[in-house]
Amino acid sequence: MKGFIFARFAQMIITVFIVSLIVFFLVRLKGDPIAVMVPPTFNEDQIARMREVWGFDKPLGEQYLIFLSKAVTGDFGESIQARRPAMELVVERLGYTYMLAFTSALIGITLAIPLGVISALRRNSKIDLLSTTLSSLGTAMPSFWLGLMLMIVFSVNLRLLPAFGALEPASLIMPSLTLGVGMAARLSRLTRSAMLEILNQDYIRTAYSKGLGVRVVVIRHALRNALIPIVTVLGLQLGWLLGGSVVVESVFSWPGLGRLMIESINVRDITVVQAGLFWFALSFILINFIVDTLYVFIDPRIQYS
Amino acid sequence: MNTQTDIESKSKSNVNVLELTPQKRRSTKILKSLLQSPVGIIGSVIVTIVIVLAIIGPAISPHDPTDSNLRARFQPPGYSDETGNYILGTDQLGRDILSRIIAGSRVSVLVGITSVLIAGTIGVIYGLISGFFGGLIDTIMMRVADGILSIPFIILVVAISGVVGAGLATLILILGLTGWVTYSRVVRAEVLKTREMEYITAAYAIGQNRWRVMIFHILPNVISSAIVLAAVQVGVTILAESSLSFLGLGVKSPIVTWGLMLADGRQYINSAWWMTTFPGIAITITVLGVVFLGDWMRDFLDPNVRGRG
Amino acid sequence: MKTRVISSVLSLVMLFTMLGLQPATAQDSVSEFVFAHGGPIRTMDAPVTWFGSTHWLTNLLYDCLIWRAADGDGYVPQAAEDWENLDDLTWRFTLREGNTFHNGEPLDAEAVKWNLDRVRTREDFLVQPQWTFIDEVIIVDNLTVDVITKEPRPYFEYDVSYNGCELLPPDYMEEVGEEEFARIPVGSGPYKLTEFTESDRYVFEAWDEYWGGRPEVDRVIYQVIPEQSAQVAALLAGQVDLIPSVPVPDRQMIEGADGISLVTETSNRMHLFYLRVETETGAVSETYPDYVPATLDQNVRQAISHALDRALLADVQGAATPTLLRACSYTPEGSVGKYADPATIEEWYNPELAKELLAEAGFADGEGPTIYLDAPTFQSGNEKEVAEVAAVMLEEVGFNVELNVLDTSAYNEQISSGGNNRDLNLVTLGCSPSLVPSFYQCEWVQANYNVCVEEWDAIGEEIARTVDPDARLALWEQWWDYYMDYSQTLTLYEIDNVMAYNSSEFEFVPRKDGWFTFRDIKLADG
Repeated sequence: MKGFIFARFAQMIITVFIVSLIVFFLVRLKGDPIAVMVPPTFNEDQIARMREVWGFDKPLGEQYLIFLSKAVTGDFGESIQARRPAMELVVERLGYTYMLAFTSALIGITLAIPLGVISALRRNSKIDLLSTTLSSLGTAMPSFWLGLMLMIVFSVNLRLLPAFGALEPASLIMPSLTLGVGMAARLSRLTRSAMLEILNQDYIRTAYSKGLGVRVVVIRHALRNALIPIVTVLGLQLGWLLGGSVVVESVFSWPGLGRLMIESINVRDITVVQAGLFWFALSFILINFIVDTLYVFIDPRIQYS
Repeated sequence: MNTQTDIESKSKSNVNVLELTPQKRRSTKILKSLLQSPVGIIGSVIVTIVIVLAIIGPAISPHDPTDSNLRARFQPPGYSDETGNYILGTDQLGRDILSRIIAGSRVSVLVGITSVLIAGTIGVIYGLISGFFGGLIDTIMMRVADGILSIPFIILVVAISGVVGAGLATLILILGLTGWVTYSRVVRAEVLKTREMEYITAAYAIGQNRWRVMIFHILPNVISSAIVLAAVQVGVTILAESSLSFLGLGVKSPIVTWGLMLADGRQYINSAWWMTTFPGIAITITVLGVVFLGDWMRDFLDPNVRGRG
Repeated sequence: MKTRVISSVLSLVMLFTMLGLQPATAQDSVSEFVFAHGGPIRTMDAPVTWFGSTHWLTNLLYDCLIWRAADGDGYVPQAAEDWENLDDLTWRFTLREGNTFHNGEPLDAEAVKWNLDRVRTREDFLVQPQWTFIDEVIIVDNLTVDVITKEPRPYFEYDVSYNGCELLPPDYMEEVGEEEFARIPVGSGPYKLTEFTESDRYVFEAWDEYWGGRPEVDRVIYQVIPEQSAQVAALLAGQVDLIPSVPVPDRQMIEGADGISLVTETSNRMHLFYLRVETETGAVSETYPDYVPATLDQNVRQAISHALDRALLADVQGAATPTLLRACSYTPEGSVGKYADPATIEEWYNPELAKELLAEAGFADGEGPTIYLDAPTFQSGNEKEVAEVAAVMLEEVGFNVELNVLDTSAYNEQISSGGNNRDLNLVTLGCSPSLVPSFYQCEWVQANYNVCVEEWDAIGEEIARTVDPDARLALWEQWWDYYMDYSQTLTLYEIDNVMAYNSSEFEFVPRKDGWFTFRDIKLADG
């Protein structure tokens, strides 16, 4: 086990390093970051001088080395727009994004698993069809539409919930519901499918014939094995949410990482983009690592040869 | 404790039934199964209607979907003037929503299904190989996948469109290339689980080589998750196209997609709700059809379900 | 199994109800005005950035020497209580006795000199080029400062109150450094910045010791709400007091809503088309090696100008006033001469004339040249839709239009600043007359265009030197003749803001410079 963890840790570092390299060049690939920063009335000389001041006139390789040498000390440079350390801006937003991500995931699982299990147990019954329809609705519904509808009902008409910001606990309700419903819709399909696969296997019938009750069979035996694909997709979804859900953050003015990233990309505040991306890559890879480790606990037969 | 006895592991139900079925009766078997399943019927009916609409759409469209009627912008459903009836209302340039929905079926369905097929195929193969061979191959392949996942969608899109230029082909390319990782991880997970099962060992024991085992024994058992995922991804892809269109990175005029219609109507939801609601309904019904169809397909292919009627 | 689902759903419902029933933050008797800002908002170290929408905020926090009057008529005193033009190159400012920053640091001549020198020499400040007109700043005595310019500046007052004029406390800045200052900024304006989340929410509280007296409204909050429909919802829910732009289909509904009023005023911005008149600037000749712009021909350019129905385009934009000149109608320069006459503007739309001009350029009726139209999706209005409709109009007189609409930041990066714009590109610009002539001089080279007409150049130079208003306006009339004739830049319209605000609690009169800054926001009577 120890060797496994250590090896994965090393791989993680390498992957993040390579990803940061790729993104570094991606954002500088075409076009001129300085050009987006300056007023439209700047002439060519002024733009050239600004490029010099910010170090964008240096060759790309040199720029990357400078970035790298600072990044290993935790210095991701200064945000061009905010004149504060880029990583500081990212860290400020993390708490909000994590809060939203975990709450949405919780809602997602709480709704998805029971729904998926019931649909599998009562395959092709009315309840199964209903749940299939509901989950199709959940995946097809654009999140901005659901979010704005919730806002119109609960903020405008009922005056119950805040329409923007993260100022009070109640602000969390609508955004996490919006994300959670979408997540639940996707996960419940998968749960159902995974359960179906297992429920029809012989060893389940054997378990029933031994006299074990439905509940025990389903939860301790079937669901446990069905968890593998569920946990995989849950990990992926959570990873994306931790990077900040741009649409929901935008609709609800939630001060999360997604909004920061989009804004920074739009104004080409490159240092912030790099800092945020580094964090996103790190958390995603970490989650996949946790998921891979969980496989072994869920199904002891799995080995990494 | 959950154990499988040797007797059970050699049970016929865990051997791929497809292999034993005479080929020439396959198509009749498919049709028969389809007609027996309510889910299959609904699904195929919906999908057929959408595909038919996509093909003959322009012929039955009440208006030209790109015709702007600037005097009739933002009109609610039921509006009509000297240029005709606008049953579902008009958009910000006075174009008929119904006509645009019909026109949009073409590209949306094309984009949705093509990207999913591309992503799904790449992902399933990738995950199958990675999980099956394990070891160093698995490590490298999965780290590469991790790396790709770590690049935020939006950066990738902006960068790719910057180089290749935005448009339909770029759109499908991006959606396909960024979508495959999910399939690969799910399939790999299933493969890890499945390859340890006794019936696989049994297959080796009767002399089958690695590739045959991978393709004929493991793949059918892991593909059902991928199919369900794919069905769901069609909807997700259509919506992803909408986000791209909102940012101006999607298709260009005069191409119409449901995603573009959603993007156009996004800022006007408070009053001109019809601009987003009707394309949303179109997407939902299409997704429903695809999901039902996927469910039937999944049941049909799942060796654990077939043979039980 | 069913009970499990029901109980999980029930517990979720209970959890949410509990969250919702948390006591709302105690409502003090503090008057609070909340503005929905579209974002993003940059640093509060004001001179660093050129973005107007960030300066809306810094204007509350900082005083300048003098500043623009809200109704567009002249300038008002801020940190300087008096100012006079001593000679062609010298302006003298008299500061207020005993004026300090929020932290007590004195706002004296030394502080003023420090600020002006800083903004005109710091090369990493994006506004710096706008301040190089100053030659020297001289401290006459503790409360008197002389600003010496390199050349006579007819628009000096505008220049000296441009973005970057904000006065920062030198001692505090030197003590904490720029990074810390950006975290806790200090100014001398009527409001203090008490808390903020970067580019998200800024809370300003009234300052008792402001020389002009404590402002009427206790608290002003800038809340970033990026999504336009969410802004409308927030206003209707009573959680926001002013939104800067009401989408066209929502206007009727909002007009009918209780306690909310709609008000329209110019935004001080215009939509214009830049036309290609040469291929040397920018990267266009590299990116498209075989491309020869159809707009090289003046007849073609004028044809485009006459083919556009500016009134209809203004409608598509939502609320705008068709204009031919590149200046706002409320400035004297924007209302001088025949091209400012509404009758001329109305008659300008002339598709027949456009076709004739095309024929003169060698294109028979119906077979116009292919032209490329580049536009962003959404910058300050409905650029995408405006471009789409403009394309239709041009096709109606015979052009074959290739429309290219790009995501706004990609558009700025690749097309505008990259100099890859082809025949037409749609831009949004301000309309102040101080700088405009310089943009059309031979030595002014921008990535996406350069104009060089010697005689026109000469008139522009003279305008920049002519201090007498009447003489200057006469020169402007001539300048506009060249502008319209050459047709490199086609003005479409001056964009209006259609705003909605909480009229039951507040009295809001929009500024004529399109700025959403609220030093003078008042409570409604009664």
